[in-house]
Amino acid sequence: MKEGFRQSMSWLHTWGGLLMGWILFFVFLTGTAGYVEAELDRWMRPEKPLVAAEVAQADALALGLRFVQEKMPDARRWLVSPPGGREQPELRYFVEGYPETEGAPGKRQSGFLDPETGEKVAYRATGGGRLLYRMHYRLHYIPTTAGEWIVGFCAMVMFAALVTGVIIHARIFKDFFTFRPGTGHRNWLDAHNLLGVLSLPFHLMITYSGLLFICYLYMAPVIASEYGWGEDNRRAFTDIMFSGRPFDRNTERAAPAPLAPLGPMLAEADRIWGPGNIGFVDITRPGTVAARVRILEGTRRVSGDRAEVLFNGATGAVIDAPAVNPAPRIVSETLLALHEGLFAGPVLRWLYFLTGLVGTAMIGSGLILWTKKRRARLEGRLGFALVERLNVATVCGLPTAVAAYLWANRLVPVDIAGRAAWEANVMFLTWAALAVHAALRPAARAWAEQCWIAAAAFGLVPLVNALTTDRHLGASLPAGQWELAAVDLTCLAFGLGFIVAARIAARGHQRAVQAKEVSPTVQEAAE
Amino acid sequence: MSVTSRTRAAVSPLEIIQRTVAAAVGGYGLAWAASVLMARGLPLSRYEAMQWAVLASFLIYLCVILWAFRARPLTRMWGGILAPAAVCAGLAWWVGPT
Repeated sequence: MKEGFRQSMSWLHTWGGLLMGWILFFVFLTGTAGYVEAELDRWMRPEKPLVAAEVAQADALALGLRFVQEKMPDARRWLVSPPGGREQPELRYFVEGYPETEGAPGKRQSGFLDPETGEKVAYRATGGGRLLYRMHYRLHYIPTTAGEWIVGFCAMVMFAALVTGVIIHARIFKDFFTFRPGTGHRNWLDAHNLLGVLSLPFHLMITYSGLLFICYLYMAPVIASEYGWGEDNRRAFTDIMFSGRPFDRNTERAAPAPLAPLGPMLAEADRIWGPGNIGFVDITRPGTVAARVRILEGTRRVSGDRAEVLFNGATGAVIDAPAVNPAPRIVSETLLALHEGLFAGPVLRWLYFLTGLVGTAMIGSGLILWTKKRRARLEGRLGFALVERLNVATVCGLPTAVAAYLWANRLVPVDIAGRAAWEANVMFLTWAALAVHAALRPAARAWAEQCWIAAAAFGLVPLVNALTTDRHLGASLPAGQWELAAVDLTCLAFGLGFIVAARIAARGHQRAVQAKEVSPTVQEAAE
Repeated sequence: MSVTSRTRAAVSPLEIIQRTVAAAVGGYGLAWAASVLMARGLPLSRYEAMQWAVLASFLIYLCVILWAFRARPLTRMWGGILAPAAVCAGLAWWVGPT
């Protein structure tokens, strides 16, 4: 009975993992890139000065607030985030007008400002690291909702694959120390187990919390059962879940009233959190009696929430609106914060990045393991060939496509229309080209060749950067700009890693050829 | 009849389809019914009960997926999903929105 249980769990693990594995690989790889979103954003905007100017937060904030008031005096919402910390190195603004027709969204604009002059600055149009981060939960080229449904479905299968993986791998801790290199598919099995167990808590957390992020979609009927259908009703729940407070989405024009001076409000925030620790200033319906000024703390915590202070924008008085934060919300918020890792400093961020890569590699090794185990039995069948080719195109092709995205950032002309979209197009065209390559070449060759292509694509990123900008390693290292240099250096490390992988793949290919020449049956027996 | 066995005895495609449908659709149905019951039945504020229900929903779904591939025979598997789903849905309907 026990054996039968493990067998059926093994079946679920194998087939669920295989069928969703390719999408999950994409989700994990782009999600891992999301952990270094800010660093990629900075790298992909080489127009930014090498060393950011030291500006007092209060001065930058004052410039930003003046800018939005002049930009759109009749706005429904002004939002300014001052430079401060890793997460928001820029002085950013966002303005939103009142809807011109009932129900339609108002006009929206956002951009970056020079924190010293308050003038708009123009960087090249780029999706940055942010676009990779977005792809990990909503894919690309398809509507957001469709992408979230697909990713949600895959995440549920991932959840089941993790638990079944633990069940079938009962001697989990003993086997953790088992590694049998050079033993046919067993070394892939060991590698898959090692990678899985190494960061099992992370995988469970990231999958469960990932599902939690899209609960409003996936569990919409549950929420609707108490709150009712429709976006407004749903938000009555999700506003509390995600920020602990209902959010003012009112678009009616209230009676006019001048905005109270912001200076004392900012001073109050500085008094509570210490100077220079403001995350953003969010003003809704300014110039009316209904005006509200929300100021959010800059510091991020593991328990997620940033403190905030709310003011009546017409009188300047503090509105006492304590956050709703009962036990289930703390559980949920902690899971969501762990998923995003925004609180992580440099060391923990590297750990997040590496753990994300381990997860990606676990999925990749599982996909490869499927073919290694079945080669003797299934080689020559169409389905087997399809899996094998999809594996090459995903495990090697997708990372290469991400490298191509970085190349595109440097090589696509700065002034063409739709430039940011073209960066992503280059990424997916590269991926498509590599999929065609994987389909046309013998599988063992395709592995080696694509590893070499990936090695070149990553390894040459610092060179492409040096030839097209003056934000290369020769400049960033002497200036001590590590977040900039880290992107070049990490690409270099990936390049070296793929050289090693290419050599392993080439050796495997040679062994396969030799074994075939000796006797096909011997090789089958060995498998 | 196990889903797979040591001798790799053939599993009928119909059984695989049934178990997959039970996991995907049945699992969602039971997760939905049980979560709604939690949201309505827990003696907490509307938000708190719903947040616990949402947190639990994915774990319930996970358990039903495992059950759908584990339980045998198939009739027991279906019974183990449909009966609690019916009970939860019935109770949730009886409790009504708070």
